[in-house]
Amino acid sequence: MQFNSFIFFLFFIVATIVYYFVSSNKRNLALLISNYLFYSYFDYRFSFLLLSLTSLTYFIGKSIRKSESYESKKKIITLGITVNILILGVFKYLNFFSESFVWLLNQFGLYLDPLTIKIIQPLGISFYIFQSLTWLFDNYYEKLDEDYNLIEFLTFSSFFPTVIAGPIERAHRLMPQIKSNRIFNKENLKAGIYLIVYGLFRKIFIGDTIGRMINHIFAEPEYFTSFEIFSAILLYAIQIYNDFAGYSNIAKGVAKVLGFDIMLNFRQPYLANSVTDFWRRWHISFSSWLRDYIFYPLQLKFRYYGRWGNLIAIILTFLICGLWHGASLNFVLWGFLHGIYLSAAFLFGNNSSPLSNKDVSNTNLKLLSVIKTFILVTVAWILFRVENFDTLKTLLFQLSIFSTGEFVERFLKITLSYYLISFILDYIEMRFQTENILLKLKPAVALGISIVVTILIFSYLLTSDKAPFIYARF
Amino acid sequence: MISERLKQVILKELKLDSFNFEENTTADQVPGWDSLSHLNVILAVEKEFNIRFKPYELLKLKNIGELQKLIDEKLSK
Amino acid sequence: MPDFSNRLKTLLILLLTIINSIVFFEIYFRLTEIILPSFVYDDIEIGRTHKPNALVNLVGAEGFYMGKINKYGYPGKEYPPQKDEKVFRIALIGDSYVEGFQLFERHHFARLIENEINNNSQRKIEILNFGTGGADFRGMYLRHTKLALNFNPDLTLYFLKREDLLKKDAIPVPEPILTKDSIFFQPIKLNNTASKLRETFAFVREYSVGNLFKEVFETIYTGRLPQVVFEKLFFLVSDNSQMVSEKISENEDRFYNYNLKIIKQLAKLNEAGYKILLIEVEKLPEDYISLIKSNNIEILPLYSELQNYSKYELNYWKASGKLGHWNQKAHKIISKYLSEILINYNF
Repeated sequence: MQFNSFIFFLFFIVATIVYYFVSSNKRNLALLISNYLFYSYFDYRFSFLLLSLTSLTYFIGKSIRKSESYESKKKIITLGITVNILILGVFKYLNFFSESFVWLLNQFGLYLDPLTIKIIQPLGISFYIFQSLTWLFDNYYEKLDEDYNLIEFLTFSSFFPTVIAGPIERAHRLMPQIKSNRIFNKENLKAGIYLIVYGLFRKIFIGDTIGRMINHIFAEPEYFTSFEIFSAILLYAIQIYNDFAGYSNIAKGVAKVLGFDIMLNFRQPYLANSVTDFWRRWHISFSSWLRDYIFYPLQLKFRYYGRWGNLIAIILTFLICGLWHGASLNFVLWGFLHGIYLSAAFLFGNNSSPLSNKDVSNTNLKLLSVIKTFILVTVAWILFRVENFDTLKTLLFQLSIFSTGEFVERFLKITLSYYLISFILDYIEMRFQTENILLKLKPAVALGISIVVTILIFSYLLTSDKAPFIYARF
Repeated sequence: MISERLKQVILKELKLDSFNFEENTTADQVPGWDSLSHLNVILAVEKEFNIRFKPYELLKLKNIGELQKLIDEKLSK
Repeated sequence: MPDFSNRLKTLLILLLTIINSIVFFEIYFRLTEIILPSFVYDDIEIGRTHKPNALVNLVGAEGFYMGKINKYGYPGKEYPPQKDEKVFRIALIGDSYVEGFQLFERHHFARLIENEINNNSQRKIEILNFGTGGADFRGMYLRHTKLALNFNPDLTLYFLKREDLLKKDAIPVPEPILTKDSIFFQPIKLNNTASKLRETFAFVREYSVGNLFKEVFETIYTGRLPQVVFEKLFFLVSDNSQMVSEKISENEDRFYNYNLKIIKQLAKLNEAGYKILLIEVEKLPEDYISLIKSNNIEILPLYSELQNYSKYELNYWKASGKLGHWNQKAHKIISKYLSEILINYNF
């Protein structure tokens, strides 16, 4: 069930009615059943994996909580992390590592058949495993004040608004909300629906529609001119942002209707004035996860190596960041490139190098550093987007011949229009200090806009093939 | 109560003139205390008080008040 | 009554916002080309026809087409009705495969053949593309006689598939009337309800937002709504409708009679110097082949060339991973095949 489908909205309406209709002590159970119905719609077999893995994780977390000594806590959490990462590795990365290993052997003249094990990747596995890992960490670092039962944890780890593609919530943020009593609230319903409508606009009328066009350019760049490919690269930055931020808005809105507050996932990332700043605004639920559970521990471990401590921590964190996105070299290189950006920012932080992340007060300089950051990020997105190195080679070759084609004006018009709308929405979000911008408008205005957007979105969904959400494959 | 000594170390390391530290102040509320400068603050505190933290102890901290408590514990040993 | 006036004010603001939002989307859709005003209209004499000067941007499960209907009402490169004496002019007649709205015009076989022949021989040719999505044999004949002939083609290529010999219901086409030895077409009637509705609301297609609503209407009208809404759970609400049989059976006798008359008309044109070449995109039924041959119209078996390639080579679209119309490679293969024939053709 994609969020941008009719079947999801039917499901959501029924689930919400049932959820508020049952007595409050059964509400979590109703939610848990909805979670599993939602997840099983994709492929029911994967819900057994979800159920067994997260149940196991629950009990491991409980025993961390119960153990007295630091040493035994450490042993148990190591076990818990290992199990989860092994499962993630088996389903997601085995192909990649076996292929890379075979490739490496080939370089030394040893030839082996690739032991490619074709395992279909269970949907959302990277997201729900990372979310359930926070249960282990939060028990380990004693961030949880209360005790939680199995139902509460299973509801948390399969929470349908976020199970497919985040935001990745933390146990210490979401579980207290699951424990608390939630009653139907008109304000939540309104705020939730407005956020869903806003998210659908970003996802469908910016993200999906760009994707429908540029997917063809990235798939077969040999048929397109330099200018067309250049436009596609520029548009991809806007596509992935609106696709993902729109999706996060929908997820937050859906959760809001059910009475939950999910963390902010995007804060106008393309207005960042340095790559460091970008990572504080992009996919926040994931980047802060990496910061708290990978970067800080590494940094503290290596702290007596001086600057090198930070550098090692940065590079390792971003390699993991890349690898998390997918089992292929391009994601690793993308992560590595961001690692380089941030290392350089750290090393040259105090001078005027283009990679420095020093805050500037001068408006012109600020604009310049925003543009500079955007260019660095967009260049990295090329690595993120290409499917393989042959395509990358073709794409770069086509770019290098400086051909224009017969549609320069139309590509320019389309690209600029998408940039303008995305920027205007970001600007309004920034001014209002919230992503739920419809809530800040006059009620009649917000209602009017919502009616038109909803009708157009449903009409569009009826008449076109839907684009699946980009991030759901990670 | 945050000791003057701890305040001064942090202010000096972050090159700040003054900041009103409370028990429940968290790192991200202090200007310049980001994930990278965090390391330098910790190193400076360790040097000032001549103590050593374990990563686990630091990662458990929720705010500056708890950091103060941890320092006091280490010093009293 | 302040309460009443407040409510009126709110209602007014609501209405104004709705109107403004629709205007915003109209502009937004045109700028981003998410949805453009319709590039076709239903001509009462020809049926569905390309609208002169309309912009086209088609993306989807198959390829990506960006282009324009030229001012003479056919897509792509613009040639006026008058023709230079030294130039050999070719008109293409066919359905969506010939229309080629899945790839940029620079990869269409029409342009590739033109380049090949104009660059590598003494000859100068011009190719005009009158292919129209959804057209059947009748529709093709109408496009040929009512439109293409105005451009004085020296040679007309008909691209035919089996299904083109049947009536395709999707598109309004003038109804044929048989006479003893000929065929006439009655302009699309405007007196039935469906046509009236179509005519009355024809103006909405002039707008992007209107064109979107028209598509929704067609989805509902053609009964595809439950499938789109219920996806995987579709089987719960409906029996799987049976695939429409493609057989040319007794039911299609009527069409055989129509097609027979059309072929006879084509034979007359052929004799009068408007040369016609039928191209078998798929193998056509034997009775048609003998009929066409007995009327002295030449046939080219394009399918025998295409058989050398798999569907994955000819119809595969990498971006979506789906099979569909001819891709760039297929157009290249077709252009090679036809160039070789046309370069030796007795002009």
